[in-house]
Amino acid sequence: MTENLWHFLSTAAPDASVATDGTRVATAGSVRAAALSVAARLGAGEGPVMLYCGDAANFVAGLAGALIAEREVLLPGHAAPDYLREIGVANGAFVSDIRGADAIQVSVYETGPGPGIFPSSLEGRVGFFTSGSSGEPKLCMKAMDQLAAEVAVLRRQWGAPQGAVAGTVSHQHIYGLLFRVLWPLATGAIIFSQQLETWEAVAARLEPGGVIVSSPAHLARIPSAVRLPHMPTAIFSSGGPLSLDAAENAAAQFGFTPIEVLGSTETGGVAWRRQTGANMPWTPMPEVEIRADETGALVVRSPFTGHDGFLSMGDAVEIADDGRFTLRGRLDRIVKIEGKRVSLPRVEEALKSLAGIADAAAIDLPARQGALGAVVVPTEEGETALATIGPFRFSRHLRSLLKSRLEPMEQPRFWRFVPRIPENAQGKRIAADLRALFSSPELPQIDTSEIDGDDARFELRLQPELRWFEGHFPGQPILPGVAQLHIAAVLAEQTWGTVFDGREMSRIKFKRVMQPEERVSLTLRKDRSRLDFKYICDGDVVASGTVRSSS
Amino acid sequence: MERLEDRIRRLIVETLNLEDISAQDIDEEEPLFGEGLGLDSIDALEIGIEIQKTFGVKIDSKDEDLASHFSSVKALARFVARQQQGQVHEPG
Repeated sequence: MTENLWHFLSTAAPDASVATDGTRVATAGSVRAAALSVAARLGAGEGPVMLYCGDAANFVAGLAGALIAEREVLLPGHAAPDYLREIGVANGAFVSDIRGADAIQVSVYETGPGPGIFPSSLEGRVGFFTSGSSGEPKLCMKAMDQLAAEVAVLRRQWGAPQGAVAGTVSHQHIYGLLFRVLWPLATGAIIFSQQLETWEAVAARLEPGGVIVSSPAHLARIPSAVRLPHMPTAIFSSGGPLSLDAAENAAAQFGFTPIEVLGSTETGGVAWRRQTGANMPWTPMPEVEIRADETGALVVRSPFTGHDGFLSMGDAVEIADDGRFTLRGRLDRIVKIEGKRVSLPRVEEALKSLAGIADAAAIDLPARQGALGAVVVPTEEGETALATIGPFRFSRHLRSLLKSRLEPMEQPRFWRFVPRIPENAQGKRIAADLRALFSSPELPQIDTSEIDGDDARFELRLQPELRWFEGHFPGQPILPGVAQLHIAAVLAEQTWGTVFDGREMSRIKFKRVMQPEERVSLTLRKDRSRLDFKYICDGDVVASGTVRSSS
Repeated sequence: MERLEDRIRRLIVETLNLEDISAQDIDEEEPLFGEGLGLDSIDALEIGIEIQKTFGVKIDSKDEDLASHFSSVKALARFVARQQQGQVHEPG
């Protein structure tokens, strides 16, 4: 089967188009020549090759080149330097089209057809870095056979793309690689090689008969003014759940209800649906066998998993007699709150059913003794209530409304009101990002501030949730001296932009302790590199001193 | 010396780790439970434990007026003051 993936590229005439970036065309001849050049420069070295390209045509040449050199290929999810270091790019060969990168450079648009024989079949393995729900990169290896088997199924299900395939998702992940790159490559359709970031760009590039490979993150955010010049033959969405609202909106605006593909890096594609109404069931993809295991979880067997047995998707499933199925929430999103099992999706459903709430996420908070937190996007009506009675009473009001549906441990204890729920680039909610919204503040609440040249005065409230009170001391929390210095220095930096790192301090006096809920005023005076601070409580100076900036 | 009412407001905010609200924001007469501040039965348990620890008073779970002692900051202050006075007169 693998032969199919590369058959078109290896046999096409040298001037046949493979891809375009909108201004230039990458021909079969130049892609083959660039691939052979990469292969020659890589040689038969040891260890895997990291491959990252911003342009999908360069990516095809890099991938083919590494496979020709019989090297294993790893695909970083993005190219942020710290991330590349974290996954170990520095330890091996790196193939990239990032200008100036310490890498084997690949550029199909600047390569002419050259001599050399391009193989008709390429075997090997490709590794993807997935972001688990914990947010840490995890490597998942796939054989080219598995990817080829999946492309064969795409072809069986949806035929060959009739026009160029454009995408708003990266080909460095499995969904983008399969739909944006390998499917058109195998069928001889044109790959639009730039990842399109905006719908305006999609509208500008879409060709008659074109296909759009997108994601829930993009489909939920279509600007209302954008119109497509042609009706696409298909719009795909994968990587996370697409809301019914977003599906209906895309249908209204673009005249096509997105085809949602369910899958994961581990399982590959599993099923598809088009949400033309509420609770649309999923249809398994050809060659995919699905079943519910003894815990009620969806398990999958297919030629794409690289596994003879069934793999669990981690979702509760309900399978209908016709073989289609409905998902009933993530099973791994069950957490223990004070010893009781709590289903986060169930809490989220209950939250979203309330009138004042537009969207919600529930998360357990290990840093707060495992208490349950809610991140809530209020409706307009909710915003009004929030402004009127304040976040605390509003959160308690919402909590009281949950009483009829949820048990006490299922009712969130800590609440955050946000304009939207944080998501990563693939439209996934990452537990670590949600938890970060609940991390304890370092600065006191500032009630008023007056700044007059080099003098500043802040009226502060030492709220009990300040990080500094944690464990210092149990039962008798006080604001440590180091925190008093830190707060003064941070506020000074925010006021004047000067960093007072406190390496040099003098005349520091702590006269009495400061406790949670106290109101104190902090006066700051800046004199070039010197900062005088004074904490005053009920007319008495409770702490004072001088710190200097390092410059 | 901090007023007993203020001490109790602070105790509620600290004990329950309440966020987005300060001790001063709690009205002394406002109902603590249900509509009002919106505290619940688990909060009541925690406040009860802390009140006993901080003020050295005893709360009798069979006391039929318990709910009314906990109805507001003012009621709690009254309850604590009465209990403390009672203890002073108790022998031993």
